[in-house]
Amino acid sequence: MTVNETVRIGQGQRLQEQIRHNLRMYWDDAWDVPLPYNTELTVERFMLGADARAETVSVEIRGSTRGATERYVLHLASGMEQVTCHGPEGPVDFVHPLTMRQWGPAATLPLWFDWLARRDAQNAHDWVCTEEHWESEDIEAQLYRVEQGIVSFDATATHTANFRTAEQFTEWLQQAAGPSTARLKALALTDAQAFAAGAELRLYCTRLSDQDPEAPGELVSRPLDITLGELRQKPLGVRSLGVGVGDWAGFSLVMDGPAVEQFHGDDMVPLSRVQQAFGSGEPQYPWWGVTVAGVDSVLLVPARKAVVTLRYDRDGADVWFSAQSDDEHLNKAWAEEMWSRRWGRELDHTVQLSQQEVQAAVQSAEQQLAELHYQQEEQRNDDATSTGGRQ
Amino acid sequence: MSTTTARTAGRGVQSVTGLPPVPDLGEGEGNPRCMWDWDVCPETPTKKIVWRGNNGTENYAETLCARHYAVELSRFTEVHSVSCSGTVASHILALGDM
Repeated sequence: MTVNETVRIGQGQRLQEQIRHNLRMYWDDAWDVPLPYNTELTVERFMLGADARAETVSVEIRGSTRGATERYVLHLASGMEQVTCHGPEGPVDFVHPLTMRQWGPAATLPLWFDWLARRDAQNAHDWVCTEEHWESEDIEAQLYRVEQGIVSFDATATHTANFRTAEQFTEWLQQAAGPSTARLKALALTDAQAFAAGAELRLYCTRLSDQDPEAPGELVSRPLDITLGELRQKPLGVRSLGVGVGDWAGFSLVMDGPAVEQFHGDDMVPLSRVQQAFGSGEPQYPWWGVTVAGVDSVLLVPARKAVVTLRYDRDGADVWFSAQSDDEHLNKAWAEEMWSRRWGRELDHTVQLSQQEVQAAVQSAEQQLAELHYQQEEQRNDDATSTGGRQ
Repeated sequence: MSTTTARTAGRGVQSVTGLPPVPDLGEGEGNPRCMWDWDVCPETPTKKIVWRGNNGTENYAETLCARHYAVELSRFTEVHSVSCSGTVASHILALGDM
């Protein structure tokens, strides 16, 4: 072994050590993070590039068809904090996996490691999906689904900071709605004054049902806490709509062919009253309006502080749109992500578990529920003791 | 609360939640398959979780195979409870074998 080879091996080991000890992810205190379920990526798979100064690292992960691989090269020229990534189709923009916010080309090395591990697991999962007869899109599979009463459903989420114009947002809404006939549309808030005047400080719980043509809609109004000044400021999240709104807002639809059969939305405003406040292109104020063809309601969505989700079921006949404050979304998404990593094997319907494994899973789940219950009871008793005699 | 207690449904729950026994909801009847709906599970349910109804809705018994029972309970503990101010006792009235 030459001196150069020894140096490179030493650097490779040191780099792997650094990656291992830097697997700190989305939060500073989140050190002990399980890897995504079913990933085969390990730190040891990272290969030092030809550059002896270890400025590039390459890695191969599984591709989206069985037997295929994808090769990625990470560039560490600016250190571990500003790593860029080159994939099979060119430079890769980092998208935060929990907030779905596009970061641009650079992220930390541990974040890329996690991104690659997720992609490896997702690609392997995609093999199974495309190989399962009923998930493909050919005619035979579609007929099979009709015969078996199997419908398509999906949920897609993104961050509102990823959109610059109303047209980009609308395009995303239409793609995310998949086979649905619902036509969702994003509008840019261009005139806060007109919105405030039109909304008359009222939010509406709105409902539309074709089943009762005599009473097509119901408007239950409640005060809109948002002021003209606040519309002009950067929103903190969905909660900026008002104290009573919370961190979540949304609406649901039931479609009958191209027509809206049922609609329910809370905290919306009749679009006809505020139509002139909205335009196309970039918003002048940091809010989008989201509406649906055939429905006279618009939901205000923070332009840079929300995660929006579009979900459909029954081949697109049922549609839900929601916006959530991004910080609140992150808390939940983190819990969900860690849970799916810990319980991935039990969730994977292609894996047959032994009796012992199922028993162990049941015991573990009951144990941790019991511990949570115990903690809550302790807390309740402590609270009762500390307020004892003063109630 | 011990794990053994948590497994005990019906009257055993009294000692867990301090609440009166849960009426028999006939869980599992007419429901030959595990109620897990993330994907199709053909297993026969052997476990149940009785969720407390809220805002006027009735209590609801979810009957599941053992595997999905574990998954559903863990989801409640690890995901739902993170963002919900309610407690285990305010959500779950009974759980364990059917």
